[in-house]
Amino acid sequence: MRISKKVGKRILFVVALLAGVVVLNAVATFLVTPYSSASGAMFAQYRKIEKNSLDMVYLGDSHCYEGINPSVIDEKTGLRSFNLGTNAQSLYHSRELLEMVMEEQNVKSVVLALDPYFLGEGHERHSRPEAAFVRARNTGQPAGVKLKNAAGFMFDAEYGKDTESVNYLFPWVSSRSAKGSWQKNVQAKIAGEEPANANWNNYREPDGFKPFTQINDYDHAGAAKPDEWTPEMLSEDALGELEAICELCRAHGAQIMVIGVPNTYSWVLRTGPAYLERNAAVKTFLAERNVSYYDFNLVKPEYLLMRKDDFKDWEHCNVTGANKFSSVLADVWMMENEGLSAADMFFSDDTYFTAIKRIDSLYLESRMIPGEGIEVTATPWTGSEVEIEYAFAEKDLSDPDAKYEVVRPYGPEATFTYPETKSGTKQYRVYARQKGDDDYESLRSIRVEYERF
Amino acid sequence: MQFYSILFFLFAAILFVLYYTVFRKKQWILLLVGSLLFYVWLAGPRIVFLMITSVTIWWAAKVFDRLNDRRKQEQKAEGITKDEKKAIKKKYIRKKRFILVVILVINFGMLAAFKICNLLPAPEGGLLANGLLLPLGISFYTFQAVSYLADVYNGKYKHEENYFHFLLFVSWFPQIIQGPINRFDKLKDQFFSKHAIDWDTFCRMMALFLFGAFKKYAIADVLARTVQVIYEAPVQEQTGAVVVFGMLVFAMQEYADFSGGIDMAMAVSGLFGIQMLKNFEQPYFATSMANFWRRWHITLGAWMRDYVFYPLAVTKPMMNVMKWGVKKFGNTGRILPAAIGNVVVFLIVGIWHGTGWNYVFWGLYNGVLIAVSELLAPVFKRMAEKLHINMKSNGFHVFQIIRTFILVCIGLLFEQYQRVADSFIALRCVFTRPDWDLSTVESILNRTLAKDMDFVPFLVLLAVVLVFICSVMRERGTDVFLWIQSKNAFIRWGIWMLLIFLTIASFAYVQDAGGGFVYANF
Repeated sequence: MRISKKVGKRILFVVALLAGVVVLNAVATFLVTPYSSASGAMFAQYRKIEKNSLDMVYLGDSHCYEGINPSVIDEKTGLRSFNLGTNAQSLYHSRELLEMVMEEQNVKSVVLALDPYFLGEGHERHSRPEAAFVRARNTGQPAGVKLKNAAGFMFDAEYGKDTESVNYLFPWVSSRSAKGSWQKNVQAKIAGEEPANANWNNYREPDGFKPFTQINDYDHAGAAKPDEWTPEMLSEDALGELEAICELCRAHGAQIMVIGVPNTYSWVLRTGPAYLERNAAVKTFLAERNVSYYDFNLVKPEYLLMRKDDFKDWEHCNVTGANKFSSVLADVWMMENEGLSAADMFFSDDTYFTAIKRIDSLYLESRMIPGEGIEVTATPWTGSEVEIEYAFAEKDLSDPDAKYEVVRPYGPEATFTYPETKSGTKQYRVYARQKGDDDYESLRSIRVEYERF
Repeated sequence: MQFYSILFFLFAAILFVLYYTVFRKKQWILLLVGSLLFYVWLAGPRIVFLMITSVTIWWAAKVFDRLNDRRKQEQKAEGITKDEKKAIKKKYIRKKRFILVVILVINFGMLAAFKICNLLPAPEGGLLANGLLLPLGISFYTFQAVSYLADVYNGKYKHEENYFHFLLFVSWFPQIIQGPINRFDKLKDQFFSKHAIDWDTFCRMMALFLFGAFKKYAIADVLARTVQVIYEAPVQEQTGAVVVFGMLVFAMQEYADFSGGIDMAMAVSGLFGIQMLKNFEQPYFATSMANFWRRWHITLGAWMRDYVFYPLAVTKPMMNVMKWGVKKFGNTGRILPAAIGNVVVFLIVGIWHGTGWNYVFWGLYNGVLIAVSELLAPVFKRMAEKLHINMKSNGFHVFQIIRTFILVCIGLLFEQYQRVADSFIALRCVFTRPDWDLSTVESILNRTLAKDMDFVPFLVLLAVVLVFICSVMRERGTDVFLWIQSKNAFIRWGIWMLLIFLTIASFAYVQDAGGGFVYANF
């Protein structure tokens, strides 16, 4: 068949255009996408493990890979386990991972770290971490497998109609290094450095655990805002996936235990009594399927007492917290394995709220009262029987050496209006102590812009 | 459904290949099957409502022509007097009018019912529970179908014998998401004539699609979060700078979203050789509010003009108003029916956009502005003469554009604030809480832009400048596509690559991108 000159020119044009896009894409991908990702690091470590050598795996999101240290558990149980947690891992991908692992490993036990966020209606899946997950899974795989996994994402019923389906072809759109680290990232790629050296965020230990050493800054970390939950928010799709995971374990003769990884008290208390309600709903759902559910946020303090400095941020353990929690998790797993219930180790009613004896943190809200000043209200994340006193202080931002000065001494009222006479940015701080104490137990600062008209 | 999605690309590509190969002798059948599949794919069983509209309106139009024929026959009968002819005419007009009213009640009733139901809190369980009951494109296909019915009723053209031809017009997939509101006589010949693939048209449509995507994703979607943050904040706490900034940003976002979506729809339709009606013509270069509405959502404006404004203007009460006006105010009185017509039309346009009081007020705002400016046009002319202002000068032209843009922006406040009073509070803030050092605007930008993406404002600015340049060129009558194609390969490729790159790069900023189109739920 002869192709006319005109048609040939047009074909050349299309090819050149596509080639241009491919080159642009390749350059941007090389420059911007990180050397590795949280998912990529997990897969890299997992692929180093020989087949049929794992006894137990942990599934879940960042709560899982930052909260469960397999080496602590392995030491107590004598098993070999691996942490398969990935960034924002939805239940949908937990199931996919489990299917993959069940084919490659002779796993006898599964621990699913459930993040209640993914059980919420509308939060079941998130395209960008899923795209990163698929790309990470594809690294080093044969072309056929890569194509199959990529097509699975791009033609997914949920994403196929969305822009994310096309953007899968442009990895730099959703997966990029932090500002200022491009040069380091490119250098690491060229030098073939280990992910830990290039970007600590993407480091994983050989058993999939990611140890963080920092401690949550209860004053400056983004606020633990009040949260709501009602039974209608429980997603049927998410519960369906949860059921599928339980079924998959049953089909492979593996034992499954669903858990909640500890968060700070603040993170739990912000949901209020509804937290227990949600917990009970999940527990009932799983109990009907003969699966145990233990939320370690509700574990009694005599078994596990997480301190404020056991957390990296509001909802993730640091390495100290993870080790402490993993040790208790191993105990509970062993009890389960022996056919014993660990239910007595956990609170199941609102005695949980009375058992909390510390002021974990404060949540501050401010509102401008024109002509008067700024009203600041403190909400304490603490136990229901803790009596609190508050002191309100402020700092002059125009003086770099200024220190906080108390403008309202300790008292039971949680609200105070700072009188303001001129516009500007204000820096306030609230101290909270338990009644009878001499010093504060918790503090929180807030910066507010005030315009006086 | 996003036009920029793998499933839509695949759907359009398969249809495109089949259209110019296997189905080249019966192309319209493929378009109909494709359109119906597309509708079922997105709306599922709600296609029933589209079928009800198409069947009832097609049937009514057929009956109109049959009644017309019968009337002509009866009037041709031998020995019939002039009075008898008049009586026959009246009888048939009554019959036609009755059918017209019934069909309009059914179709607009359906539209109104869905719109109202969608606004009410969803009851537990049942059909209304999921809040997704509004059939896809119901406003657009209803308006299109009704335009056909009215045209046949008025004898503009004969009814379409083949129901499936009409069904294709109603269900044509590129228009179903957000318009434009097409006319049967403008598309009919295009749908049913044979189309051969044309390289130049193909390139032009691909460029139009890219430009539409560029506006939608690199401007509208990037600005969406900023608009949301500004209008969700308590209005009492807004500063004048934020109010003005908010209006500007929303004006850009709304135009980029709607016109971008329309460009993509036009491009997809154009790939099949179907040129839909133009919906935008550089609206922010309008010199008056009336002119603005001849440039913005043109097909809706034209629909309102042809099927509401004109019929209303020739009613007896309006004629009486005109007579009274002429008696009272002289020649200015002649404009009175048009002024009232404009207010009514824009009241309907307001309700079409939403049933809240803010939309009613927004409609009235536009209608009253147009009515007043028409009524006072002679006064303005005299004032300009007295002040020695040359109304044909470039300076005055620019003044008119800026004045109209400000009026449009004020109108946008009524779209954004659900409480009418809030719009007035916002306007008051412009004067009472100025903050012209822009610190509050900076604070909003800091909150809405990702910390590691301080290039985003430059990206948006660059995109807006490119769209502005393109609009100026179009306003001057330049065919931008041909202009680009006439440049040397380096510039030509540079422009296309830049548009592609900026469009894709914008997704890096938009978290969980793809919030759909602003005009998709009408």
